Amino acid sequence: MTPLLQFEHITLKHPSLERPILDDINYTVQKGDCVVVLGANGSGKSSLLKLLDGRYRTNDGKVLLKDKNILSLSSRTRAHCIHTLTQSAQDNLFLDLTIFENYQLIQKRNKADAIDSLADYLQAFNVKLAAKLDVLVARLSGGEQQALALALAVLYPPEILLLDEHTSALDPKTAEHLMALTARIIHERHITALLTTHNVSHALTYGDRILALKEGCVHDCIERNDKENLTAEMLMARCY
Amino acid sequence: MKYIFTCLGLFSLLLLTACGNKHTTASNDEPKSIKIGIIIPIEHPAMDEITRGFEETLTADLKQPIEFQVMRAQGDVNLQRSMILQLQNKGVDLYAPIATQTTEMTAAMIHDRPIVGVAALLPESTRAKSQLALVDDEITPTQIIQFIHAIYPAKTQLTLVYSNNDKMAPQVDEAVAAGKTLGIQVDKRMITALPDLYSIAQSLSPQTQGILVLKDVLVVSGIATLSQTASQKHIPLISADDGSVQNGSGFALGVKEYQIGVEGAKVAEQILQGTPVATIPTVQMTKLSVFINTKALTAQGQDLAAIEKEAAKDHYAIVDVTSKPVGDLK
Amino acid sequence: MISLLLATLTQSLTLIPLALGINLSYTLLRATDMTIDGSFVLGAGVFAQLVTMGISPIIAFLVALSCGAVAGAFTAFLQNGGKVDPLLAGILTSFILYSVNMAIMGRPNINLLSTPTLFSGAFAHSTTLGWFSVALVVGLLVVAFYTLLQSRLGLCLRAFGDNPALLSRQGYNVTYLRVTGFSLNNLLAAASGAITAQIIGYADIGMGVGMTLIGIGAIVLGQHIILPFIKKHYLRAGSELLAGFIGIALYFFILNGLLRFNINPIYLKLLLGILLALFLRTATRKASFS
Repeated sequence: MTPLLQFEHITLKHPSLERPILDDINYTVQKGDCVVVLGANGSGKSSLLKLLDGRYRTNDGKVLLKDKNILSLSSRTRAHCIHTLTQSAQDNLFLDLTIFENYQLIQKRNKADAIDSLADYLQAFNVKLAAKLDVLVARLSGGEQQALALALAVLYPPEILLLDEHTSALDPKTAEHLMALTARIIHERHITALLTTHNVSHALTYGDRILALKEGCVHDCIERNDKENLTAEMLMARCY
Repeated sequence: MKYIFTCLGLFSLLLLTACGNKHTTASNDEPKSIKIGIIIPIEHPAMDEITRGFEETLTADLKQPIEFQVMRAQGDVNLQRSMILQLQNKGVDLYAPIATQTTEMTAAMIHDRPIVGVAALLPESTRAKSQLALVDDEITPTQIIQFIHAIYPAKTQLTLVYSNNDKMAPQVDEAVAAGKTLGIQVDKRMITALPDLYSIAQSLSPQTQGILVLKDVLVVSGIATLSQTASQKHIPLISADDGSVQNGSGFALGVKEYQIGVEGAKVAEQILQGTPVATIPTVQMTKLSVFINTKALTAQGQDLAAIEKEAAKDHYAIVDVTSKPVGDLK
Repeated sequence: MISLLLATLTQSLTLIPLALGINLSYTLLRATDMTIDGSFVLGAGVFAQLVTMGISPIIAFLVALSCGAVAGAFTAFLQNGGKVDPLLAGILTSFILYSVNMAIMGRPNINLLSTPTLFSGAFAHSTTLGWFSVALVVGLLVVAFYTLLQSRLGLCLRAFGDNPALLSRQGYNVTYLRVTGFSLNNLLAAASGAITAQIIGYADIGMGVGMTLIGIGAIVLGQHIILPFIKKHYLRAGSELLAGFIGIALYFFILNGLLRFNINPIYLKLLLGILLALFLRTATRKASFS
C-alpha cells in the first residue's frame, strides 16, 4: 500500500539564515495516523507543516501526497486535501464574518450540499456555538473560535488535518477539552493528522506516532509499539 | 453617536435660523433690485479683474439697483454645482459664469434664466437649449504668431509651452499651423502640473529662439520659471495676457481682463433691457493691447523699439506693466 | 429648507454609484482605491467622446462602465504581479489614467450641452421627469449591486477583504476575486462619472479630483451613524448600502448648508474638513471601545 504522505530529503533554507530550517527530512505517514511532531521552538515543526499547505516551498527534496508531488497540485486540490488549524484564530476563520458565513465559504469550496442543520452539527463541538450562527466570529471567545475552526475543518474531512499548536493560546482547561475533542473526532472519522505541540503528555495520550525534530533534523522517531512503555518524563528526555 | 447627532442637530438649527434671517432681509429690499449671479471657478487675479469690469460697467450703465452674488468655487466641481443651485434658490435673474467649464455647467443646469458666459469658448450649437450668450475672450494664436513674425522676421524656431488645461489643445494646433505658414517651426511642450515646468525649462531645444505661452492659467502661474530660462538664453518670452507680463514675460499680445468683463456687462445689459438672448451674437474681443515689461525685456536682451514699431503699425495700445501690482490695470 | 433638501438630493443622486463603489473597496475589500479619481473621469470622458461621435447613449454608457472595469482590473493586476500596495497601485493607475483620459477625450473638456444623452430627452420634457430618469438608472445600478452583494460572490469579496491569505488557503482564486472586486468598484465610479457628465453638461479632465476622499468620508460618516442601530449581521449589506446613501446626502447637505451661511468660500473647505474630521474622530473613538 502506498503511504498517504512521504517526506523525501526535505531541505528548506531561508536566505537570511545560515543553518537550513529543515535539513534532509525523511518521514512517511500512513493513512489514519495521528503523528505528533515535537521539538523546541525553532526546530522546524511549523515549517514542516507549512510545506504541506503551500505556504512554504522546499529548496530540495519533495513532499509526496499519494505519490504525487504536492507542488504539482492545484491550490484548489491542495486546499481540498489539506486543512490547517493554528493557534491564532485569524489563521483559521474569517473573524469579520458570521459563523454561518464561514460555513458557507467552506461549503462552497467543497461544492457540497448544504448540511441539514448547522446548529445541530455544531452542538457536538461546543453547545454555545449552536445559538450564535449569526454572530461575528470576532465576538466569540477563544475556545469557541477554536472549536468552531475544528468543526468546520472536519465538516468535509480532508485527507490530512494539520494542527499547529492549535490549543496553545487557550487556558489549560479549555485546551485540555479541545485536545480531547480533537483526538476523538480524528479517531472517529479516521482523519490523518499531523499535530505539533509542546505538551508531551498530550503527545503521549493522543498521538499514534511521535516525530521529534531538533535544529531542522529528525532527532527521534517513536513508533506505535515503542510508545506503550514511555512516560512523559522519558519522552521529554528523548525529544528535547 | 449622541455627539454626531448633536453636531447635526445644531447645524440644522443654525441653518434654519440663517435661512429665516435672509428671508426677512430680502423682503426689506427694494422689490425692483436685479439679482446677478457671478460664478468664478478658481481663484485667480484675472478672474477678479473680469468680475470687476463686469460689476463696474453694469452698475454704471443700468439705472436699477443691482445685487451681485459672487460665488467662488475654488476649483471644486461639487462646490460649483452647489453654488449654482444656491443661486437658483436665491432667484437670480441673470447668471454670469466665468470661463468655459463654468458656463457649460450653468447652461446644463439653468434653462429658465439668461446666462452670459464670460470668457467662454463654446460651439454655437450649445446655445440652442438654454438662454446662453457668450463673450469669447480668446485672441487667436494666429494673431500672436503673426505679431511675433512681424517683430522678429528672422526667427524660425519657437517653443510653445502649454498645459492640458481647458481649451488649450485646439489653440496649440492652430499655433503650430500658423507657424508653419510663416516658416516658423513651433516646438510643443506640454505640462500636466506645475513642477513639470522646471524640467521643461531646463530641457529646451538649444536651437529655440523664443518661448511662447498662450493664455494658459497653469503655465502662467509658473511664468517666473520660464522667465529665468529666457534671461539665461537671451531669448524673448512671449505670452498672451497682462498678468504673465507683470511676472516676468517680456511682452504679450492680449486683451485686458477688465475689458472682457466690460464686454460681458454690455451683453448682460442688452439682455436685461429685453433683447432676446438668441439674437445676440457671440462677442469677440477686438480691442487688443500689447503689454510690455521693460525690465524683463532688458534681461532677455530684447529691443523694445521693434515691438513698439509693430504695435503702432497694427494699432495695438502699448501698456507698460513693469512692476505694477497685479489688479491695477484699468 | 426644501430647496436645500432638493439640492442635496439631486447632487447625491449622481454620486450614489460612486458611494457604492467606495463601499465595495473600502468596506468589503478593505482597500483605499485611489483609482476612482481616474476612473470617474474615464467614465465621463469615454461616454462624452462616444456620444459626441454619434453613438447611442445607452451603448456609450455601457462602454464607459466597461472601461471603468478595465481600469480597476489594471489596478488589481498591479497588486497581483508585483505585490504593490493597493493604495499605491490605485494612485499609479489614476496617474496613468490621466494620460489615457486625455488620449481618449482628445481635449481636456468635452461639451455635452447639445448632444443627446441618456437623460436629455427626459429633461427636455420636464425637470421632474429628468431626475426621475436619473433616479431610475441609479436605482437599477443599486439593485444590481445589492443583489451581487447578497450572492456568494459578495460573501467571497467580503472574505477577501477580511483575510485574503485564509481565503487562498481554502482554495479560492484570490487573484480572480481581487480583479472582480476592483473592476466592479471602478465600474461604479465610471457610472457615476458618466451620469455626472450628463447632468453638469460636460466631461472635464479634472472633474475626478478628490472624489475618493469625499466618498470615503461620506461612507465612514454614514456607517457610524447607521451601524450602531443594526444589530443583525445578515442586514449588514443593506445597512452598508444605506450608510453610503446617508453619508453622501449628509456631505452635500452640509456643503449646501454652509453655502447658505454666506461663509467666505476661502474658509469653506476648511470648515468642511473640520466637520468631517469631527465626525471621523467620533467614529474612531467609538471603534476603539468596541
